[in-house]
Amino acid sequence: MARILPSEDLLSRMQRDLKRSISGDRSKIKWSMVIDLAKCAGCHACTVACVAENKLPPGVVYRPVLEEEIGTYPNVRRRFIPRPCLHCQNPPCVKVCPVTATYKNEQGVVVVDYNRCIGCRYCLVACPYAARTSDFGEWYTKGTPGTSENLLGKEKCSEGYENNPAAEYGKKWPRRGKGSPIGNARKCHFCLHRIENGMLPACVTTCIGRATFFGNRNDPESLAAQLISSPRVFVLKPELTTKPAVYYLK
Amino acid sequence: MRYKYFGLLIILAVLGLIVGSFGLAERLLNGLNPTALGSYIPWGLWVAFYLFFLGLSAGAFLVTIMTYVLGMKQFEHIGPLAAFTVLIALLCEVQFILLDLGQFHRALYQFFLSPSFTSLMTWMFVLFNAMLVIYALKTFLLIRGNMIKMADKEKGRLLKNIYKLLVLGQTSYSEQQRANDRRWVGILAKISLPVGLLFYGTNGTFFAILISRPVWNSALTPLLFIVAALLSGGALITFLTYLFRLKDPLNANGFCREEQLCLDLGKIILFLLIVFLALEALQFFVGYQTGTAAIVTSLNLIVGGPYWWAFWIVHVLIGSVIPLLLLLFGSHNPRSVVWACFLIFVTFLAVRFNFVMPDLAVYKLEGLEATFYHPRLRTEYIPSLNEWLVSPWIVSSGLIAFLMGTRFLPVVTDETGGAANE
Amino acid sequence: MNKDCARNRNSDTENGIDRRGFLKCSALLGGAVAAGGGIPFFAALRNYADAMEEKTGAYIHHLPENQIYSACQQCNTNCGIKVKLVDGMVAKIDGNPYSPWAMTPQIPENTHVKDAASVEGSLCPKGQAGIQTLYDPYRIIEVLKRAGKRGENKWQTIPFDQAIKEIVEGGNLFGEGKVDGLKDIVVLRDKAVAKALAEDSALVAEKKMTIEEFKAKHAANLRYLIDPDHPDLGPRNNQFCLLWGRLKNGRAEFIRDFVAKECGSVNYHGHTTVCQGSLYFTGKAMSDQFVEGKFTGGSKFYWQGDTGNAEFAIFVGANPFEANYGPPLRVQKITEGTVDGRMKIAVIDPRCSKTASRAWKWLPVEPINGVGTIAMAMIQWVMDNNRFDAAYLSNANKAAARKDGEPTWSQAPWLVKIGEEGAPGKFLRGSDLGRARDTRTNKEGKGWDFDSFIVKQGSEFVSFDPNDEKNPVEGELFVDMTLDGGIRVKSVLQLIREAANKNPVEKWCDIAGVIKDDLIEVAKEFTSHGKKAVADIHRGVSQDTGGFYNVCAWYTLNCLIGNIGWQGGLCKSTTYNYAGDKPGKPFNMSVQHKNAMKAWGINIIRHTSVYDKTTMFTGYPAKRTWYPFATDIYQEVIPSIGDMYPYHIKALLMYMGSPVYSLPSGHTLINILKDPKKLPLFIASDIVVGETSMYADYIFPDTTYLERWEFPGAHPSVAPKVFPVRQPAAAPITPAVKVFGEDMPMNMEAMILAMAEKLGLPGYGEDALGAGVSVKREEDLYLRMVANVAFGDKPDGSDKVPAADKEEMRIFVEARRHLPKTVFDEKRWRKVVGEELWPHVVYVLNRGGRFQAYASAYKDGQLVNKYDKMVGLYFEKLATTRHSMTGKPYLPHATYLEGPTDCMGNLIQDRKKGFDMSLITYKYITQTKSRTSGDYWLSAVYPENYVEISAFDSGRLELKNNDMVRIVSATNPDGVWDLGNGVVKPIIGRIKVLEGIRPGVVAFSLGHGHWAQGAMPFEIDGKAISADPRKARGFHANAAMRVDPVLKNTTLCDVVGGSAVFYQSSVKLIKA
Ligand SMILES: Nc1nc2c(c(=O)[nH]1)N[C@H]1C(S)=C(S)[C@@H](COP(=O)(O)OP(=O)(O)OC[C@H]3O[C@@H](n4cnc5c(=O)[nH]c(N)nc54)[C@H](O)[C@@H]3O)O[C@H]1N2
Ligand SMILES: Nc1nc2c(c(=O)[nH]1)N[C@H]1C(S)=C(S)[C@@H](COP(=O)(O)OP(=O)(O)OC[C@H]3O[C@@H](n4cnc5c(=O)[nH]c(N)nc54)[C@H](O)[C@@H]3O)O[C@H]1N2
Ligand code: SF4
Ligand code: SF4
Ligand code: SF4
Ligand code: SF4
Ligand code: SF4
Ligand SMILES: [Mo]
Repeated sequence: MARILPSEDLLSRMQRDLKRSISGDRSKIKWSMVIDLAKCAGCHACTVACVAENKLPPGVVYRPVLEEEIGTYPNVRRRFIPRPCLHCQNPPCVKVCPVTATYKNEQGVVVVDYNRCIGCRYCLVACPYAARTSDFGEWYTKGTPGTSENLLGKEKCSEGYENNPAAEYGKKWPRRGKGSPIGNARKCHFCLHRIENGMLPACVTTCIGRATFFGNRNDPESLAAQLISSPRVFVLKPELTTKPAVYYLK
Repeated sequence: MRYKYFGLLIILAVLGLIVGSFGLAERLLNGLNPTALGSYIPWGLWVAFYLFFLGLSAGAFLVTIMTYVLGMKQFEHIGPLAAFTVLIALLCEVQFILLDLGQFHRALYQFFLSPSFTSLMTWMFVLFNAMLVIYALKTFLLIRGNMIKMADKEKGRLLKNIYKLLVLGQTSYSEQQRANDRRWVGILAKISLPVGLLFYGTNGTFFAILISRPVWNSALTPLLFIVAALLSGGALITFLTYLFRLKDPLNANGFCREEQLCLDLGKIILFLLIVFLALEALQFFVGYQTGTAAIVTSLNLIVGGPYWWAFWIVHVLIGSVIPLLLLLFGSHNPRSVVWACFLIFVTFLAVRFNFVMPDLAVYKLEGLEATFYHPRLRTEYIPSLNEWLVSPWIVSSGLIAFLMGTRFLPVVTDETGGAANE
Repeated sequence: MNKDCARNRNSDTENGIDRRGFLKCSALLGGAVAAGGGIPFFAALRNYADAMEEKTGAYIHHLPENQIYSACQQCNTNCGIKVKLVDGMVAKIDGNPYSPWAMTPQIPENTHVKDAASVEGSLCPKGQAGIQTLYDPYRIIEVLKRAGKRGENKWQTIPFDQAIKEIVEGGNLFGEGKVDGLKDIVVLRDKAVAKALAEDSALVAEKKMTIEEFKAKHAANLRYLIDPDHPDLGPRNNQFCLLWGRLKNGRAEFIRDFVAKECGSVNYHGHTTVCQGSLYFTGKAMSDQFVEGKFTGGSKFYWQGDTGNAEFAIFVGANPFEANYGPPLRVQKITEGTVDGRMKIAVIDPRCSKTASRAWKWLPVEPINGVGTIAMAMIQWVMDNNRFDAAYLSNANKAAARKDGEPTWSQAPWLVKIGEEGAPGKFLRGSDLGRARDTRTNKEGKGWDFDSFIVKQGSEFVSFDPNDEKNPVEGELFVDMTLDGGIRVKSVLQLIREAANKNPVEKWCDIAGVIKDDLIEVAKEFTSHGKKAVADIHRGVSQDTGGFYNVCAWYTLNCLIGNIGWQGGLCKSTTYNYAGDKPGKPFNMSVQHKNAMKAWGINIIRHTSVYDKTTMFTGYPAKRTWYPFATDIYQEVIPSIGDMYPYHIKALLMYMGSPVYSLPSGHTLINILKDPKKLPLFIASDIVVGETSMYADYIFPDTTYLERWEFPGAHPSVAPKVFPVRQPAAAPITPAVKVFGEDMPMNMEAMILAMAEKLGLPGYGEDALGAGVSVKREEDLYLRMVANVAFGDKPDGSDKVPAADKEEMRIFVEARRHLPKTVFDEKRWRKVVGEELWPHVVYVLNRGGRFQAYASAYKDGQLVNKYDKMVGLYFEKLATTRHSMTGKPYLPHATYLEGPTDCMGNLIQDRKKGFDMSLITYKYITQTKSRTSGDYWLSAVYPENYVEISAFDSGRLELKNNDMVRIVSATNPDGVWDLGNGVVKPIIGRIKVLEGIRPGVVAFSLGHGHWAQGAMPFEIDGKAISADPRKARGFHANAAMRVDPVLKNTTLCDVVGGSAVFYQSSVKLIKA
């Protein structure tokens, strides 16, 4: 009669799955994400967590959450659809890149090499899911008062969350100024810098609805792999045969 | 060659350079930040200009083909001018594209370090350079004979040396050398035919392969592009020929040579215009027949969207119907032909606009506009001051080069451009 | 990239083959070819190189030395956070995996911090954006003194010490005449004198002593009193008033006890009633126990559902997906529960909230009177269909409950005497049946008479003692009869049933605007899961003029299935004892104030005192409402100051609150705050120039939640026993100051310590906590409190946490390397708690608090930390107390009170006057009141709020999406905020048309339409400060909410539970 309590949070389970995969044969890894729309609370935590984790400037977003209202009063439903890069296994964005700055890495993650990208934005146009945005060198603190005015002031704040770029792709990027990634195409990279350190993507850990799952779809033990075989599974715009590695559950 | 408006045009160009340099400076200092471009409309004014110059070069290309491949004698006299025009147009195109790149310095080497041949842009890069080389050579071969002459006629130190330099110090030019050059011109022309067609086709294919872009994503697009380019360019060339016409000697029906040319070109323009309109009609017909939601919305956006006027009034009425009538019923009056051409190429920006905008103006996912707010994440786009400032700089740079060339180089000569009189 | 190649090529030649460089370069070329469809060998190389690149390790967030665990306070859920630091600055914030807020279940407490370093739990978007609250460009870093008139928003920066001096000593501070300083207000310091005055003033109030006698007896000390003719108003010290918004443990001991226990003022008031007041004060009434002859000792608390274990939950006016306490804590439990098949939820809300969008049923209830009526209908249906837990309800005392293994027992079967007009009065007692009282002695050895309570069993009337543990007594549930003695009696449940039967279910549903069948389905479901069903209620229930009775009705409904204390039922919060006032505890903090006088007298909001039992009684109605059953009545403090009733407040200290912005019709406060005659001295502690602090005379910069200490406590839905710790994670951005000879960051604690030092109050400085135990710095209190928690709640110390091992001690110090000595000094901290306790304290700090394991919080289907006492369903106190405005007694049990009413109980009917829409408000997940306007990441997601109306009304009113409309009401016909400084801000917002909202309702979300914090330009030291338009976006419609027509300067109010009223205003939308 007393309910059996969960022995661990699914986050722990997924992190174990992840560690198992990276400590094994990496060439066998194919990273996948599963988003359960029935569990998504439309909280936008993933959007903001991603912006914070990757210190994204204004106008650059990797994982917006679409909201829609379905039905008519009083039979109304609301649906929330988070949209990271879907890491298409047949990625239109990669085909069009003239300098192979964006490509699908060994684990099926579509990455952008900021040092190679010439900023032609062809991939932005090519992505059917608008998953790419370009860094036009904006600042969140633009237009706020300076330190001189007896307040904390812009300079200190930029230092706090804008001047020092995040370690995307596990690399140290130059202080935010004129160099890359300004002028580049930017997109979700499955938080490779975290995966490398045995951590789940930021949007996964922060998900208050436990609606976002991550793992190696080639590992049948992994929660992600098991969810992909759910009857509720679907992908966005299947007709385009982009073969997303991000699956959704109805 | 001396011709009227020269001074005026020079002044215009110089003004353009001065004004434009502010824009250019800002662009070079602050990257793409001063532009109004965004992530959902990543290409704007500069790409439209690129396509415009693409057309111009295509027109000139057309003439060179008619002259040196189809051997239509009446055009030989503007042959060198056409070749030279292609060159200038290409140089303007590349400037627009380079400045549109977020990290353009990388373009200078990255294409060699890590080209991807699955990308149409890479092929554009290759074909572009091919065209550049071909037309540079062609122009050179066409004018070097006269340049050598000018080199020793010329009094002014500076010019003399420039000519000397350009002809690589050569002082004499034998008949048989001339024949040689002519042969090479012929060969280059023949090569340039497929290369050119591929180049202009590629620019269309560039858009055509985008599966997520309903209207563009069609085999018709490349063809449409070629015809469009030739049409707009041809029209522009016709206009320019008229502009730079020398009054004498008048022929039987009181036309000077250029006016005669315009009439001949007019026939070709008419043909191209009809083909283009047919293709466009086909595009709409097929589009609506498929009934695919995405395509229909985009097409509806063209004919009924906020920019309906750009399509109906600018493109259909001013840019197509009127020219069509003028070309049909005024075919023997240079003025009406030139007017038709003028209307065609000035309204062509609208065609380009209509081609690029609708597909970009639909958010790719429903509700995307309400997920994360920033001006650069919207589908409204109005070119920024910077974009408007940079454009005249490039155009003027092209204009200057063109004027200087036509003024001091023998690209326009009274005798049939270096053609041997066998 | 080609540069790398160049470099690496060189390095090749210089120091042999640089493998990575080589790979990288070949990768480029190879990659190119590969992408070109060619040579796989190169492709392989490239991928290998990419793998290498990803390992270059610029990412250092996952190292324990770069992490400090603390507690979020972007909203009041106070989730556990992991603050990640890089180069001494906060680089990222994530969920604390040790905290049950962030994970269900959280990781085991004994996980080494090394191993926890790469694990993180969830946070809501506000929590993620906290870094921008810390680094808000508009944060103030110097003490600001007003340079112009109040509210003019012109400031000068002045030295901290000067500010303290001016405030304490007073004088002509603003060139507007003399202002009393604190030293002129806090005049009574002598404990003995205070005690004597207090006792005799009570006698005067009870009419056991005359004013003359009093004056004669205390002639020498009358000067200490506010008004010798009304000694029960207390000493002049009471004219120093503290008002706070968000105040938690630890900091409470600092600022509240400074005023209450050291300055001896009874005026220390929180914001509870703007928040969910009636939830707390119904809980207080229901938890009153029968002690030594009276009902007392109820605690200010409330229940929530055990989210993770309920099989069915009804969320009434509660929105766990967007607000509540709070998303990270509750959403996972609901989504996993509903999708994985454990639970079902129903939502009763006029909006299709995000919670409702996931519900099995959504009842779009009518705001004005819906929640109360639905409760009545459900109670009626449950009773008529005998779907209540009769066995539980018939238990009349503790023994009976224990016999059934029930944690609690109720008063359902108790008999109540009915008065002439059928009004229920006192309980039926043994003495009424001529039974003898028995005399008992209490702990202090004082004697008291026990007069038994009575239940009916068949023909028997059984006497019982509610607290009796030996003799179980049960009683009949529905009794209505007249005793031989002629006394009419009814059982408590009978009274409730009659209230619920006032209308047939159809009628109740009509009023509530819901479909009868829906309601019945919900009621059926609710009664189909034994004790694993729960009605979870929040602001939508409590913030009505009938809030107290709404809450009472919904809790009564829960009681009908006896779910209190059961797994999946109603749950209460439990925290470790930090005050140390228990045997065996290392530090008893209460001794700090042993030498200070005890505060006494009537407080400015007249809470917990009964009008007709004071010398202020002059017949009915009183000048303003008195509140015998609620405290912390936020909306009453400043208006009472305005009316100087019952007396004049001379100095107001406001901490972390913004009543002008947050209160319904908060605009009424502006004219009062602006007027130095009504309020001579106004001091605020804030992190920016806020919507309310902009009217202050002085603003002291504070440190934000990421730079400071606090102990947030827990929420009712947290089943495990916990003690989260907020501790300095970021280096303070405020400058250092010197107090008691110690260097410390300028913040609230420094401000209080400095005032105390200047006033020479006994509880601070050397030996304040006993010989050699001083209170000179914040950690002198905080670390000792943490030590008390580390020690645990067993006198023998067997509940103590383990000691941190060497590695953990190292990490602890390493992780704080960026903190200046003014905040962290290992030796100093160690000394405060002592060598022996230090490693245990570190163990707790390393985990951001102490958290019982999830599994240990449940046993045999019950909660381990449960409420296990009597549940009051009938409140004798209310039946015997008179309402200060009407002179009538209060209703004593769950019932339906039609609203909205003014403070005299008269119905307000603005709808009839053409105000055809009901205004409601809610919280959007990305926004809080005044703490997110600088979080630009959040404004990117939700830049402005909307005037949300139904498709039906959009047709009726011809309003389309994005039309701009002005919101006007009977008491704000212009629909404006008049800021009193020449600026008038219209209440104009953008229309959003929705299907998911009840027709006739207009909703807006909280947190936009700011006019301070940088939303409008202001001035410091003559320099204009530019405004940030992003902070001003959207609108704030609180000023359109109804003002009380009798009191005129405050919002409508629940006169019992004290709630400020948010959901019963009628408005009109006018196209702007
Ligand atoms: N329309 C509408 N209004 C509402 C609500 C609603 O749902 N809709 N909700 C109501 C609820 S539930 C509540 S609890 C109240 C809350 O209302 P209040 O208790 O008044 O709290 P806030 O409005 O958040 O005011 C916080 C103030 O403290 C300042 N502050 C922030 N951080 C710190 C700090 O670290 N130290 C100090 N010293 N100051 C700080 C802020 O700048 C701001 O001035 O609002 C109520 N108002
Ligand atoms: N995002 C966010 N979360 C917060 C806070 C915040 O500021 N922002 N503040 C925290 C605080 S202090 C508190 S007190 C809690 C409050 O937590 P909640 O009370 O759960 O949240 P609210 O949004 O205030 O109101 C709850 C719901 O009541 C509904 N409602 C409005 N009028 C009526 C009505 O007449 N009848 C019924 N049945 N429902 C009605 C609203 O639509 C809303 O969905 O939230 C906490 N969490
Ligand atoms: S979603 Fe877009 S960006 Fe991501 S892989 Fe697919 S096409 Fe490329
Ligand atoms: S923008 Fe960068 S990544 Fe995208 S296609 Fe151009 S070069 Fe490749
Ligand atoms: S995986 Fe990382 S980068 Fe991608 S959306 Fe999630 S947080 Fe952003
Ligand atoms: S964090 Fe999770 S629940 Fe929230 S929006 Fe993203 S996916 Fe949905
Ligand atoms: S709910 Fe969000 S804002 Fe509130 S405390 Fe938790 S994380 Fe912070
Ligand atoms: Mo609240």
